Amino acid sequence: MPPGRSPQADASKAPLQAQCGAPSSPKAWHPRKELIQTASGSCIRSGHLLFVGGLDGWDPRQRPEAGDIRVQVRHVLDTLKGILEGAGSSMQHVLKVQMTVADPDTNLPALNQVYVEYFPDPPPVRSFSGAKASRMGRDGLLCQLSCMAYVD
Amino acid sequence: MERRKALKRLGLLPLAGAATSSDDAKDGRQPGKVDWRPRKQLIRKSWTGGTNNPSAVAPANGKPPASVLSGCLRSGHLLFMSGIGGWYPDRRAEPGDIQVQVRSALDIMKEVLEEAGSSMANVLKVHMTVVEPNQHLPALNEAYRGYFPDPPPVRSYTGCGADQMGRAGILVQIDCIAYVD
Repeated sequence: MPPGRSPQADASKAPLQAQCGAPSSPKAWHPRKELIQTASGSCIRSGHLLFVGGLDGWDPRQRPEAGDIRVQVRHVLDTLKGILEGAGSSMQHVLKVQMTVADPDTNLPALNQVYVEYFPDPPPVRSFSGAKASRMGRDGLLCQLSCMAYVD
Repeated sequence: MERRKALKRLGLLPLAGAATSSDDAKDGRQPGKVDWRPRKQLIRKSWTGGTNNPSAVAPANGKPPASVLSGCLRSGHLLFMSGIGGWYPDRRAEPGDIQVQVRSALDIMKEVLEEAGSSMANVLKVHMTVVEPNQHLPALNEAYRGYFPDPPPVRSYTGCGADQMGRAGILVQIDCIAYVD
């Protein structure tokens, strides 16, 4: 048994757990990993956090034409909304967004115009990485997005 | 009821647990004494839309633009921070080299964390987007070292060309997740 894993060490951690309200509360937060499948797609739940994976702006199985950045970001955010609501959360609960955007110098302003319609105030924090259109993993793909949200 | 729904949609009603937390702060009670509930609390706005500058303030007059993102949010004991750019024209005339830009971004990060009651020591995870990392990473690390006390946060990065950062001159964007008591 590695140091820090002995029963004594666990006992000494009890006050810290109590501080977070964990043992006493019926809604105690217990991190774990649970796959949640919805009609729009799947995500992972751990405690009160949801993790939604790389949602692509275009999937040839769903739409014949790739479309421009507006079409793609709308598709991503509609899918995200469906997944979150299917998992008991919502767009209002989104905490953090990470995007990969093809040619952001060209595409970011148009992306923002659509993006801003989807999140009520305060919007989630966001960061992005840019890439050439040829480095997105598939021709025609212009954006990919992942996020963390909370769920009651 | 309809009004309440409308307010809720606009995010004007406190989310579950938010009121308890501020009452606690007033009483000086330990926040740990209440049930921990995840929620979404705005720590710092960002008025610069897609340029991600958490340090920018709202314009003195006129309607601020619709904010695309928040600078910093708190949920439970976690802080989430937007990507902080290494250069904003309203902070500095010249973009500067990678070391100037890393220091600038980490100074903003430190300021926002401390404003939120956290610190650089509580940062758990850092993600960076770096222009031409083969060329810039050694110098970046030199400036980065020293900002985070031991143990430093986990870190990952994505590299790209200088023309893939969303605007000219910017060499790095850094975001983080931190712990807050």
